[in-house]
Amino acid sequence: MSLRNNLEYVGKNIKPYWPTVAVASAELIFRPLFTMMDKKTPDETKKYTALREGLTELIAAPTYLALPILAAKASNLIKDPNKAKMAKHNLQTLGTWTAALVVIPGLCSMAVKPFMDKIYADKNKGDEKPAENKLDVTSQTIEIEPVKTPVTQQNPAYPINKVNLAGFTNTGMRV
Amino acid sequence: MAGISSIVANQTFFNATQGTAAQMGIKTGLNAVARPGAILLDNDIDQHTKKFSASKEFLYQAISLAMYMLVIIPIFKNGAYKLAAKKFNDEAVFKAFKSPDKFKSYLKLDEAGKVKKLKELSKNGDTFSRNNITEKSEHLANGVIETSSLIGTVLGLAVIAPLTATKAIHPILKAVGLVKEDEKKA
Repeated sequence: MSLRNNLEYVGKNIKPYWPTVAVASAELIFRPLFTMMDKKTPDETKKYTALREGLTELIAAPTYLALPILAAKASNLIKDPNKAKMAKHNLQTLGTWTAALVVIPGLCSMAVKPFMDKIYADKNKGDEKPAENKLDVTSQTIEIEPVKTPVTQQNPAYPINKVNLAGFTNTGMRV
Repeated sequence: MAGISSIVANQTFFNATQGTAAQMGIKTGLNAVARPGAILLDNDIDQHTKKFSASKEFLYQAISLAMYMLVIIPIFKNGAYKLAAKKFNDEAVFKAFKSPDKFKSYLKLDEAGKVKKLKELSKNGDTFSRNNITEKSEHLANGVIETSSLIGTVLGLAVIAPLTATKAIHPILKAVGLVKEDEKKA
């Protein structure tokens, strides 16, 4: 096909959603690329941002294509061919704007964030230290803390040396 | 049904949204309003972050739009149209309409309007009619404008704007006293 034929084809068939699909497809490559080229951002942040941007554009490009095509189907209901042609164009335009303002942000918040959370949760799982061995049966007995309060003789009638029982340990046989 | 079809098939809306430049210009303008609006409505973000993010998003879209409409599209559209006029010098359409904007306003006319316009243009010596400016030559001229606009759109919004607009945003935000929370603490 010659240049003239290609230009005539574009001139005859250009659709309102072509530019948005073209920009979203280009951004699918360039947005993550520019993010990875940024030298000021830490490596992990760059990877996270680039993956997130890539996924967003991966959702955006087909949505920009599909929604205007689906919206334009409604123009088949109009019988007047001139009005149907204008309705088709207008519905494609409205479909593109709806995709940009409502559908793509909605799809991204539904799909991208949970997907990113899952990827990073799986990744962090591998980095965690192995859990310490723990008994699966634990004693339900209430442990009583030994009282360390010094016990002193209270009766002054027997002035014997003060006894401190705090450090006393019973090592004999229990009766 | 008749009411809905007259709204959907609105002639004014149809004419206003003709062409790549108009389409993308309106879409970027809507983004400049809707995206900061969505950030401001988010209740999970604190006030300062909200203000910072919304202003950043608005500035990015506004700078992209200005650059796109004032620099990128005129250069690509006018440049390609002039090149096409030289390459396809046998085409009367490029002689009749010296600029892409003049051709686009002709293209919006109905058949009777087009015939009338070509008669007006023929007064200057050249003869223009529906015989030498056919539907096919209209498609060619429209194709030149739309293809160059598409290339300009992709380069402008996916390559040039992200590289340049982001550099202009921070100094502007700093000038109006909006800085990131961590920069404020530093």
